Amino acid sequence: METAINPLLISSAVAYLLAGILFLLHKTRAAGVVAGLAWLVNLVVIVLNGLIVNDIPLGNMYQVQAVLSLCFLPLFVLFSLRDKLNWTGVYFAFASALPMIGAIFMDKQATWKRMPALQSNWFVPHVLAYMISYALCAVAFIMLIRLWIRKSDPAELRRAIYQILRTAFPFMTFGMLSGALWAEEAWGQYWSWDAKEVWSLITWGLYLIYFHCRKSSWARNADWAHLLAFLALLATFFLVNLLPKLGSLLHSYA
Amino acid sequence: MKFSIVIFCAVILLLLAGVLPVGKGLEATAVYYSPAMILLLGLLSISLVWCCVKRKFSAKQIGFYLVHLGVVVILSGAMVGYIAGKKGMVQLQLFRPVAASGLMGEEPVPFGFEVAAKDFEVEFYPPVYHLYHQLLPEQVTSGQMPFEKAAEYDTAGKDFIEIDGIGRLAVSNLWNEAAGEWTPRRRLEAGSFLHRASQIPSHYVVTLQIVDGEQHVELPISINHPAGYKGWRFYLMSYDQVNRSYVVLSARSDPGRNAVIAGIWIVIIGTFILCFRRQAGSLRHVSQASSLPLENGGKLGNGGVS
Repeated sequence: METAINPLLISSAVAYLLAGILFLLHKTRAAGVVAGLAWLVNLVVIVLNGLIVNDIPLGNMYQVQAVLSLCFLPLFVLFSLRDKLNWTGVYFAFASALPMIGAIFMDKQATWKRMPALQSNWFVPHVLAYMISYALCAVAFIMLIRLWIRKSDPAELRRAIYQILRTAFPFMTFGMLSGALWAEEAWGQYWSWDAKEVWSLITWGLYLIYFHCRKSSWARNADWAHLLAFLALLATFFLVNLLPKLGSLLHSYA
Repeated sequence: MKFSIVIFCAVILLLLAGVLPVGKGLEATAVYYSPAMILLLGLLSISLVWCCVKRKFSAKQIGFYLVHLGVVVILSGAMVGYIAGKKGMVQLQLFRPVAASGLMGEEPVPFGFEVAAKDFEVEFYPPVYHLYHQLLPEQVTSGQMPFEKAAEYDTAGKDFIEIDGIGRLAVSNLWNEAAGEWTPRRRLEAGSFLHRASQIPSHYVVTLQIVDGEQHVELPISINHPAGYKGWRFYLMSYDQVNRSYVVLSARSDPGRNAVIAGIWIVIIGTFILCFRRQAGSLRHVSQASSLPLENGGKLGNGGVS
């Protein structure tokens, strides 16, 4: 099973990229089909990961990134149906490819045993809520970059960014606060000022500043708040795990 | 609105001061419990209440009220816990009752009753074995061990493991009946060997015995399943991994706990209501909202004020 993983990861990443290119070329139907295939391969990877570890495959960065990739397409379908944001397919497709590409190069530890602290009903909702919010924040950030590079139709892009972040934020809030409830159950402390916790609070606070700026006379600074919020999100997701000096004791497995 | 944004920015700067590894780094808790942080959170609470008070009440604004007041409830509960809460760590030797928390020089905090640990149990996951192959002398670089890891095998739910290039090995052969443990190292042919990885506990549980005057109460606790008695809550943190002679508990008495938990749920529910309700944020409606006047007399348009 392990040997099938890398070819599947590569196939899925390539198909997501191809879907993005097709969306760019306005071949929407073909792009949808290719993105759907990429998503199915992505799903197979997650099922295989689950079979290999004999548990929910959220045990390391590689497994989490595969789940993160899987979140984008259903969210795109949601935004297309609910908000008529069909034209955002290109951003969702390229954003789906990024975690997959990262996963290809990551250490694929075959075994994972859930330590007692992780054996909680909060584990899956906490991680999934964060994955959904991170997926949406990544799409919104790519749209922000697009906005800054090409100033065409900024109003529509800004409105789409706002709509996407508005959906991301409750999931981020649930992710952070469910973590606090879980920590209280496990260690008797909602908040331990662990590096990952503090960075997640900084990220949440910066998105909050984005929303408040947008409603205030400082609306022009909202884009900067959005940029800083996404950089903080990257610090929360990657740097805390990768840089020992920022090390997180309580989230060493996250 | 601007006042709230300034407060958010100040709080974030203080959080960064505690978490960024600049120089030797600041003592994180000194930052997070500093008078400046407490003052900022106090100002934030006042501004949140003020935002709700000055808004004309409407049932459609329920999400707004829940989010803003929920944060105030959390901060109030946390402040009550900070002022009136008691906490400590306890290293409980099995069957030796203690009447107070206090570990490693902590000031002892009396419980008002005695606590003893009994019936401690720990279960482990089936072991994972790593396969190592011996390296040829010319393959060994300076400082490197003369073998390298080739594969790993999880024995969970398996009767046999299929070892690359060697063949099948019955999992039962790895159990050392005399020692009562899984074999730490098993030699194979051609210098290869299996090495048992550190065993990971799957579950551990201890039964606490509370002696409160004439009353005797037994409370089983495990990780994620604390137990409470007379305002105190006991959390199982770790155990003596060598001799299994003691367990480490965290003991807390926090009168603000219920308020914090209630506040957390209020904020979660409020955020979902606020962000998912159909209003100006929905794209089909934003075009109308983009020309709505702002509180300061400006107009929102293209993410800016016109």
